[in-house]
Amino acid sequence: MHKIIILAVTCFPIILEPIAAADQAQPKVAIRLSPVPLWPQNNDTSQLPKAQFVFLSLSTGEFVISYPKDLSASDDSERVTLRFGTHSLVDPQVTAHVTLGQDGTFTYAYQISNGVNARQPVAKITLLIPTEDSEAEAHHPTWKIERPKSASLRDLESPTRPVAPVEWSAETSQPIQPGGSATGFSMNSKYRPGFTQVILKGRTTKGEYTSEIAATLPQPVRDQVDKVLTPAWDSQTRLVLGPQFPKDASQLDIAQNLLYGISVLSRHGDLSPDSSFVKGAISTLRAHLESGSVTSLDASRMTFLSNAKPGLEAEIANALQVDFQQ
Amino acid sequence: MARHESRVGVYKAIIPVPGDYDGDGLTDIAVWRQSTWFILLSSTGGSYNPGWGLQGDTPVYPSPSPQTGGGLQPPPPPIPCGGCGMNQDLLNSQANPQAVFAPNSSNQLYAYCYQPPNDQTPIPCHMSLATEAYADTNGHFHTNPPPPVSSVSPTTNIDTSTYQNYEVPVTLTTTPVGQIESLYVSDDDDGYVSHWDYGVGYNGFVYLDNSNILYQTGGNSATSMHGDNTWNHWMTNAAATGLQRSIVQYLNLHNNPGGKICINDMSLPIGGIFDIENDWNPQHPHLAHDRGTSADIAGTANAGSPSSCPSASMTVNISQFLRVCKDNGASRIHSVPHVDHAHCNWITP
Repeated sequence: MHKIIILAVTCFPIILEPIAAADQAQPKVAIRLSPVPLWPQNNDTSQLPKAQFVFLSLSTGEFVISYPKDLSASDDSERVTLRFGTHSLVDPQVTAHVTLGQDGTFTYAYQISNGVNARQPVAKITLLIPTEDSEAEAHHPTWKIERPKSASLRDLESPTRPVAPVEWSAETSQPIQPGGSATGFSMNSKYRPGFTQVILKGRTTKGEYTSEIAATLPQPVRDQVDKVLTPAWDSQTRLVLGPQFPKDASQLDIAQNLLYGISVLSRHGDLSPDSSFVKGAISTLRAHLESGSVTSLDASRMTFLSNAKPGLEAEIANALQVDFQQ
Repeated sequence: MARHESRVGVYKAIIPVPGDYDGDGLTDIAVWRQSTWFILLSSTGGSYNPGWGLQGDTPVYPSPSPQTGGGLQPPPPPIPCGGCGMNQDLLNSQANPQAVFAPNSSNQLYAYCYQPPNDQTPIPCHMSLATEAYADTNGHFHTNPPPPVSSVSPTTNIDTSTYQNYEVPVTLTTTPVGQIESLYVSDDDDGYVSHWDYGVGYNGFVYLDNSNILYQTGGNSATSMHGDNTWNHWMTNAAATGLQRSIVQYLNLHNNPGGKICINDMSLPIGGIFDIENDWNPQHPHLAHDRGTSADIAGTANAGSPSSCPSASMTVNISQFLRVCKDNGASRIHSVPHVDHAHCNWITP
């Protein structure tokens, strides 16, 4: 295979976890956000806020559902309490390598590691790719691969195009244990690279929330559970390069996606906002968008590409080269 | 239905004119008497009188009438409207991997510190919070002036030891602008900063590009600062369905099946302020295009300009289209005429 491009992008937490870039010291104190309050460590339910039915138990790694048996009663001493495991207690890092074959097919290869401080093994990996990219092929030697046809999502990176999940599950193989890593996850696609989301879920040893449990819950309780059981709160998400753009994609769409991705990495401290490459990329892409896309983006005229430092900058520069090759 | 039939029986000079007036694939019971139409729409169960024609006219869109011996042309075949050609993948685009908060909403989050690797117990710390917007998201391709950003409370010098369980309730009050933002959280004790990204907007809008019956206008990247037509034709599923049924019904009523109607702005992909004057002012026109419930349908005064509707045949009689869209569930209060377009709004109270 003739490789004209190699991209390797290590991508970074979207949700509030310590950013574990290689050159960044482990913080002494980390901060986390939760959509629900913490479950009291002493299990004392007398001080629970009214109309709040879902909580997070840090010590057990569970969501706790607790609600008065009679929601309309003023006395809530008799409560129903259920617990089920979260899937967000993983600490993944994802590296993407993109190669272009002579036949015009891109191979997107991913290496996934799980931090030593993770409390769960990574057991499910979901990559979002364009729904219309029906010819994309997912591979792994041992993990089970599924591409649910009914599922369709919208990713804020490219909100005008629907995306569909490609799922790798460790059903028949070992999940990625804390401190471990795994390779062999790959996609073959004609679609060009852009930023997308990969969603990583841990394997819980606790109970799972099921449709049968949901059916037993009062609607106000179920509504709160539904808000929690989203990728944003019940998994870890990372920004990665993946198949995103068909050949006829508009430069506006591509520029918007890449500008957003570079901005995220820059804001999160993984790219230096002061580097000439980052400044050049952001100003060029933003100028294109904010000038009404009247000018054509041409990689051969992007002088800032040559300023890319080895590593992450060079990898993004290669993506720009491919996407805006005239 | 029975009431309608009995009413028909009162008159003698009536002409049955059954047809698919609302484009739902079912024949609607309808009669025409002089200048008055009585159409019972199978899609809504409501009656409809388009108010066309004058006394003495012959209806041009009836089916052959056994009572009169026929002589009239059969109605053109209805435009199939099983979802009205909407892209089913987009119809299912309800979810989103990121957290998305509605514009102008107040949202409760909880922040706490812990000491890696032990994340099982909150510890006391000092933290600060701030918000910032990413530029050029959700079709807002302009940043001068910069967009208003959501606010967070509390903000600085937060001593978590003063909170129960060392857990700080955080209120995120969102901007009216649909966009992607970042919440900065800094640990003031060792200067460590981390971020959490989220969207402000609405999930579940569908992209309406049914080229069988509509012609998209208004998305001019060079002039609108909101991208091309792929960025400004987003609606709720209910509004998209109501709009398409209205278009089909209007085309059928005007004996123009197979025609198209020019549709301008709906909403941006995740909604929020659609600031066509690029100043983020929610009081400016287009206020009603923030929730994916509205569409602007080109009137005859809108035809001819390259940036608007290319042909007068793709424009509508504004008052007549408003009547049709109201019959298809649009708000009777919030669907209003404008100089060059009908503004139909499927907002619910």
